[in-house]
Amino acid sequence: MTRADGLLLLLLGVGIGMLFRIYWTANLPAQEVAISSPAGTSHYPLHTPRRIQVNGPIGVTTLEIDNDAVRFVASPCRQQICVRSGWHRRGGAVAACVPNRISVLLHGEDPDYDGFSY
Amino acid sequence: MKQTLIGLGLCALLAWGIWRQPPSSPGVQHREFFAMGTLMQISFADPVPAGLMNRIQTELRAFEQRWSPRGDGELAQLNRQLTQHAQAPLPPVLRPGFVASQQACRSSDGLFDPGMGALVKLWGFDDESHFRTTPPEPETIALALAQRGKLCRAELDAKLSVDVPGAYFDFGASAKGRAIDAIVALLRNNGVHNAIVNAGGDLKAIGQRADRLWRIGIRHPRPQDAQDILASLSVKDGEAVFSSGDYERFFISEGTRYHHIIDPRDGYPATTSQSATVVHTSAELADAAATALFVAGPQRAAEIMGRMGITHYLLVDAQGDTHTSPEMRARLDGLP
Repeated sequence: MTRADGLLLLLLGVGIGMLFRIYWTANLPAQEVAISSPAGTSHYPLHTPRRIQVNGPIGVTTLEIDNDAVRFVASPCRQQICVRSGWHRRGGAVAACVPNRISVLLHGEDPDYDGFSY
Repeated sequence: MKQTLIGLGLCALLAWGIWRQPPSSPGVQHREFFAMGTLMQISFADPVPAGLMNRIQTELRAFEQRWSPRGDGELAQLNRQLTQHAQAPLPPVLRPGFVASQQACRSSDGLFDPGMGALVKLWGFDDESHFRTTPPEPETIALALAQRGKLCRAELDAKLSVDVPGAYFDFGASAKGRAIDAIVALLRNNGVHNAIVNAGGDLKAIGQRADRLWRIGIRHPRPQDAQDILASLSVKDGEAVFSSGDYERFFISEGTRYHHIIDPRDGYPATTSQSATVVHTSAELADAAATALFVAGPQRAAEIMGRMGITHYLLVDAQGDTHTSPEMRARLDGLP
């Protein structure tokens, strides 16, 4: 086997691995969060810790991404339901500050659940 | 020769992978929007018909205005008339909801009571702008308790008649269920055979997801990092799952937690439960029954659910112990 043969085999192996990832691995855990406000929707990877401030009709909502999860840290709403909902990490999960019209949707299908009752 | 065969084999496999279609319909499309005072999510396992989401949101806006106890809708106007009179015309569009809620009020022995709207308003849980941080004075609670049972006893014909003026109805504990039933009917009529309608954690299923039933996680009322889901169940076509709990809408005053599920018997937040979950084919009844179950607590859970015709329920009591009907227990996975 020449070096060129080895390189070809390596490339083919990597290519097949990528195809397996794309086509055969269903129900990936959440890897990205979409944060929506009346101004639009922004997408953030869940593997990069950060704090995000989003403007809504009644003020600024602060969200935090850490450990592959997202949570509402602070919001100008009075009942603080969004803050109390805690960390969200399951694919397909949604949460919102309704008074400030800020919502989050975690992209990725949860392998165990299609919806949550609470 | 051997290397050539291996290379050709891998190339053939790669080509087949590129041209191969993904597994059949594993994906679900989600649509989110604000309505009924919450974030609604519809998950489609079928294609989303063009224009349907706009129609759903239009229907929900009309529904919300109609059933809001405040503003200019039909219920708000009725409430205003009942502050001065013991009798008022009952708008035909409200009548089915009043009849269903009266039935639930009676069968729950008054533990679900939309006639206690004044009490909910007094506690400030009816609207974000009314939210308070201290409990109301006991005297004002006692006055509001005088409204108890008005819907149970009311006469519902072309007119609504109550015993004395001053009734104030708030269907916050059943209107969401009624709205979900209406949206599910609208989806079915427009060719959607597989979807979930989820209104802030209360949901109803249509059909199933690909080759299996929709699977629902019931959130733990006191979640820990290792366990945020209390149990799960697979829901059948047309089943609704509704939960009520003390963990989201509350305030703490002098170390005491005051949540939004008010016991109509004493006018204070019910203290015997952390969460209640009900499964039924009517989302409207499931909504009302989840509230009644929470207020009933473990002592009266089986009795009240039996009276309301609910066979599937799960209650977490104030100590964190779980109580289920045998039918529900048989369908739950992961319950300790």
